[in-house]
Amino acid sequence: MNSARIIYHLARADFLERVRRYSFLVMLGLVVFLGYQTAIGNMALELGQYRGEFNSAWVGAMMSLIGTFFIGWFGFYMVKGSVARDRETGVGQIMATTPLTRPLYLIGKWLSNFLVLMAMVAILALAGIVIQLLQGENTQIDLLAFLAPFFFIVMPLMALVAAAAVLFESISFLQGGFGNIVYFFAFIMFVPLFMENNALKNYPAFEPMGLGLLANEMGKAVTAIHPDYNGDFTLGGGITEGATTTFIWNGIHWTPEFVFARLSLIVMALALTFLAALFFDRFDPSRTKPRSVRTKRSASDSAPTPASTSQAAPTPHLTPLNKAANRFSFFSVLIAELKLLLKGQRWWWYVIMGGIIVACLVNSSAITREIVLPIAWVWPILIWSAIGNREIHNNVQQLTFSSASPLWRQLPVQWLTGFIVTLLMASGAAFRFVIDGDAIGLIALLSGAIFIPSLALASGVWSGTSKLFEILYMVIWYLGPLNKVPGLDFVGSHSNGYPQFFIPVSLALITFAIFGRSRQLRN
Amino acid sequence: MQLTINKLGKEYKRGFWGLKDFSLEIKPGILGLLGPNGAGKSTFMRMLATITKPTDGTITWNDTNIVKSPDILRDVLGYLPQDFGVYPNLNAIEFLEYMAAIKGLDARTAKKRIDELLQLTNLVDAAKRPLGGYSGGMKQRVGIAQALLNDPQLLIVDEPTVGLDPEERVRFRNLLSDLSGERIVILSTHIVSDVEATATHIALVNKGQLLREAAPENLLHELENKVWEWTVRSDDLPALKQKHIISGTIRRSDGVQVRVVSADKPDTNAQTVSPNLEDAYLYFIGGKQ
Repeated sequence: MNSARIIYHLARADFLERVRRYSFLVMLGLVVFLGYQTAIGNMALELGQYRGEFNSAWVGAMMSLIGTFFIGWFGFYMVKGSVARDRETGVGQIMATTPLTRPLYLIGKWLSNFLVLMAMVAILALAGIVIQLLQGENTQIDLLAFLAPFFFIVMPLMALVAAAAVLFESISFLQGGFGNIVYFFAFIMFVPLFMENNALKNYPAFEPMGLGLLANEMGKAVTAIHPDYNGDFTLGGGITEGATTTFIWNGIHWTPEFVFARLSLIVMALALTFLAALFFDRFDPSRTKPRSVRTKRSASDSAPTPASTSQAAPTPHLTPLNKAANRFSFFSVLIAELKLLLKGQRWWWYVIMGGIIVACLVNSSAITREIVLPIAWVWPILIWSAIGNREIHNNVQQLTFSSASPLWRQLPVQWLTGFIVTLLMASGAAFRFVIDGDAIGLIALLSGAIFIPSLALASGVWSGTSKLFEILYMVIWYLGPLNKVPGLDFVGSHSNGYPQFFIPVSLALITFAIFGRSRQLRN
Repeated sequence: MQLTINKLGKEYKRGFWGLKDFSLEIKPGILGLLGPNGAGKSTFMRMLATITKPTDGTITWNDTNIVKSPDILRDVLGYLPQDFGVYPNLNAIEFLEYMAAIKGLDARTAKKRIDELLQLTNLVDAAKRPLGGYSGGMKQRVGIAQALLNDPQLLIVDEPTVGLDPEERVRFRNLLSDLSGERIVILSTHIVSDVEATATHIALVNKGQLLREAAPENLLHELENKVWEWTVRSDDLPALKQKHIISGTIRRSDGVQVRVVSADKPDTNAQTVSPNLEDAYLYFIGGKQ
């Protein structure tokens, strides 16, 4: 079998497996929602007080930018997990026994990632055509002008995102939640970095997101008509009132240089995939043992051999239990759940945790609210993200769900453990607020401490994975506590926030989680 | 102590029934469930273990309908699923402590019980190692230990000896026999010798339906004069396989000695021999009654 055929079958099987999942439909639904938000004017592209007429070139470019930004950012989380699935299902070990090489396997995965991302882009493109027709400013569909930015701007970025997902899955410490957080911040950081980079300013076509290229080309067009244009370029926020001055933009003139620059990004994506092959363990568990397992095992017991097969077998005898022994203790379950939640963290994790708690205490109330508490409440994100989905993730649900009252004995305790960890992280801040008599700070702290485990529990129960909480929480945390968007500021880091609003939201999330778990139990 | 299953059924998507019209009365002892892959054994066990809700029928534990009140049974239930996981960062003691807390065992009783179970499953030496580093057989033994934590009155074990070495398998079989006196044990397996060694009753399941439920000796009695052995030429074997259920072959210098399950004498040279459970399984599941 030649390489192309192997890659084709690898990508095909993986693609089919993914598009037949319920989560793929949810993904497409989100893309349609994104298109809808644009159609009703909640999201728009503006150049200061100017915007282009809604012709094919403008709508195509606008939708492309939405695609690069949103699908580029969140699509990563949708496609990451393909190698992990092969690992978990054991299919990977079967593949590892075939002559399949690492680069070939990863190229297959890259292609499948790429196809899934492009399927989402295709839906967004269709939404773009509908938007152009609905706006009615120019109903003539120029397919070439409309599709060119999708091909030359979005497609290369999707190739890069697909490769990044493969790379993250190949590097052991980036495979899990930590990798998700790294990508989140890397993406946020890269946007301004690309826009401000002098080398890329001179060659904007090489800027992966295409923002620079579009800003440049659109800027030239608007300056030619309106020399007073100040260089502003914004995507989002909806059509601003007053930004009614429209201009005609007929799209980028795709010179061979531009096309070459954009397509070179696909080559870069392939290079990234080959680079990933260097780190990929080819499903050899001896190369990547779980961290905590590796650290805790001594040299003498490193091999997973039976414990003591040579010993004489003891006589099977169990002391019968009396009925009184069967008494449910909420406290025992709480201790057990706390152990489970915190087990596996390294010593330095606790040191940093202690440092953050002390930092909350020693700083002023204002600094603690604005800076230190938000940091304290992002540190245990990988602990919270396990709440509600740990049973499914570890395939323990048949054992725990067949115990008595799994809904009322286990779920409240799981929430409580999250609440305890959240409060513990904020304990320094709580003392500071008490010392300073900051009542609002205390209310905000309490509402935040209730909100975080509630969001984690609901996300975990309904998604069955830790990923949903990690993404949702990072977005809320980034926009709310960090960027002071009032409606999302659950920490009360800014005086304009409404942290008390998160208490009813938390109650709704807890109800949602209870409903989800009882649905799981009903099967 | 009695478990009554009445017209139990489970419909999966597209009108496919994993189990249908399944009725059975189970009393203390070991019930061995035998059937081919996809017969509905695991579906049946998951319904008994209150994991899966039946589409039809009732399951009654000492006159309580456990479909409506599952917690009545869960307090006295031990369940070892066919496919289960463990928390990789916990060691065996911590995992069993966790399960004991969830099952509602008080701390002192749990500690004593865990010590006994670790000895019983031969995991004492490995008890403080994280479960993530355990072999398949060791994880299976942890699964067995958690199923026995609460001294269950109903013990359901699905393929319990998968991954165990022969010594552990024998020990587990002995343990099951030892436990069975005052409780109901339901054992599902493909290993007929496990059932042969332990079961007081056998239920044969195929295509989601109960084919036969009887004591092993009764099943064997039904097969008296239906199991035959004789020697054939190697060339005749393919044709014989087309015609009869062959439960065994042994190569000999003068050909192949075949063991055939058949109501009628299959060959003039055939001699009747004592039936075993494997013969019975093939006879009833093969539908050659």
